[in-house]
Amino acid sequence: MRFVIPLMFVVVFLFALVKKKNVYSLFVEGGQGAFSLAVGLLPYLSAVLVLVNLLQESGLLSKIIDFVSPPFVAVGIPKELVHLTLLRPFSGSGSLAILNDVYKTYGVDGYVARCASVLMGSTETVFYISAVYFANTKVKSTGLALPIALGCTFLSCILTCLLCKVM
Amino acid sequence: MNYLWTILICIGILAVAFGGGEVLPVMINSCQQALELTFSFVCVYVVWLGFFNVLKATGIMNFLSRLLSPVIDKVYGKVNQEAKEYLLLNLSGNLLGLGNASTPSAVKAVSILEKDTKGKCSFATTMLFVLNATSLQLLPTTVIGMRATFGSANPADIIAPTLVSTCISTVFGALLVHCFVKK
Repeated sequence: MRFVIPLMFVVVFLFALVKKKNVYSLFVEGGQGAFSLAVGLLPYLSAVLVLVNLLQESGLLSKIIDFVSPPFVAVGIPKELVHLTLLRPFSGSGSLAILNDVYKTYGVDGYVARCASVLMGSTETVFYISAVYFANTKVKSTGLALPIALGCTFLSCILTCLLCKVM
Repeated sequence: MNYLWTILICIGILAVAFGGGEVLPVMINSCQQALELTFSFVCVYVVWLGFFNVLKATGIMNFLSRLLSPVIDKVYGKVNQEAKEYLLLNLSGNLLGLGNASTPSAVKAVSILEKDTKGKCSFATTMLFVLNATSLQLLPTTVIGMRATFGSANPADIIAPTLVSTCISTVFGALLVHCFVKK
């Protein structure tokens, strides 16, 4: 697995050379747009991060999570994991920190920790991805994209907690 | 998104201010975090977009995307040839676990697909977003690494449930997009 990416680069570069392409200038040309593409992202990422950090700093986030947790517990998500489930779509580093805490508190091979691991692996930071994908477009409304993605994330969480009981 | 963000941020500001914290430093620090992320993105983008451009010139992607055209048409609907190549790159990046190759290819695909869109995003973009946001990644390498650090007896034994959960939610997401989003 370690050699897949290096080999892929070498094969493609050499193949391009054989086809008499100017590999050097093609590479530079391709990278040219990278800066503006990434910089266009900054305000969107800031908007998401400012919100998450303000809510976290004030301690409101954990209060909100406590408040809305009953339905999550009702569908089979352990109450230790409601926090992770709700933070996961907003913050990758935040949820990794929670995962770290879960390992410390419950041990790495218990049901709760395995659930948390699978949850982490089978879901994504939905809001962050939406900021990244739509930052450089003029799209005004993302329509059903976000609701569907969030719904699937929720489904994935419920499934995870069931699967970890049997697998 | 507009109302949700505004209301939540106002609540956040008030809560921090009356909870004895400093609002402005928190906000500015968050932007600093965003800036660091942005710069790390620049580096990832330069390498991968540079590589993609070479790859494109070889004609390999053109050949593969023509070969897999029926599949791409089924999943994403009708899209132009250039977008097809990036959609295919994104898909293979995800499936092969080429980690950070999938984001630049997706961003590139979206920018081609939504070049002239000013209102709602298209079927293909919605599909691309849902597939990526429901996690197409097959090997959860970060989590396995963390479990190993914590001395797990079998760090990789979460792969099976992760695969099942990911596949079901991704297929379900794709079906929802097909049923509810106009092509």
